[in-house]
Amino acid sequence: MPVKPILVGLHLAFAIIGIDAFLWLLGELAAKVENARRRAFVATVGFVSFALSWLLGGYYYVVFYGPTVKPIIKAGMAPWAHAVVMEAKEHIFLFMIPMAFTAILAARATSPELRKSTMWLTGSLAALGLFLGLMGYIISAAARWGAV
Amino acid sequence: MLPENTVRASARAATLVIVFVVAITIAAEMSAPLKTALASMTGHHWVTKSVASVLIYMLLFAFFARSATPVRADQAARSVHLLVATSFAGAAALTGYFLWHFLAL
Repeated sequence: MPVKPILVGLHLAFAIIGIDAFLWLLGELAAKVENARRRAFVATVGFVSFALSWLLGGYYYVVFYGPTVKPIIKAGMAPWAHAVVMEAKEHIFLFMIPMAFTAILAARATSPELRKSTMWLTGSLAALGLFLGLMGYIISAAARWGAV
Repeated sequence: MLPENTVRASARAATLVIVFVVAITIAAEMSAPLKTALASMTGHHWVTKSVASVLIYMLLFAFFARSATPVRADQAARSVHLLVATSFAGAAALTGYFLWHFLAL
């Protein structure tokens, strides 16, 4: 069974679960649900999902992307998809892990000020996750164009 | 420990990790020897940055969390807002840098 598409699929799947978890947490905070334990649980799901997405995507990036996919993109119709999009994506992803862990700690807090800032944090995690997803789509599309 | 203390410690540590990632990434793109040195540590420059970002976060979090002074909710909230702003500024800086680098070549 080919490992490459499975790794990319799991990288994407865990990223989607992470984005969903942080959108769920955003809803809990917006609705002022007084269940700190559930908020912390949802934030933990988001953190673990992003961490798994990072590890699986990182393994794929180092073992498969660099040697086999990158040369195809660079020689294809959209070399900028690697030079700009992938280069930015791989580094922006590193922001997500400490941000997501901060969300776990902030999700337990009950003060109105911290609730509001935690909403910004969780919304930003979901937005950055979606932005990275869009970048991933561009990179995959460029690899297909390059391979044609 | 108060939740506000741990939130502020984590937000500060995460903010500095973002600054580190942006700085080391741009510096390594501008200096081939630095990029080679990063790659030689783990076999890949991105893996070295990944490991370093986790270690730096853990060390800074432990350092900031040592403070026994109680942190108010508004102080913790300010640190979280700074983290959010830094993440967007960092994402824009990296994307802008790589775009400029690509167009300049």
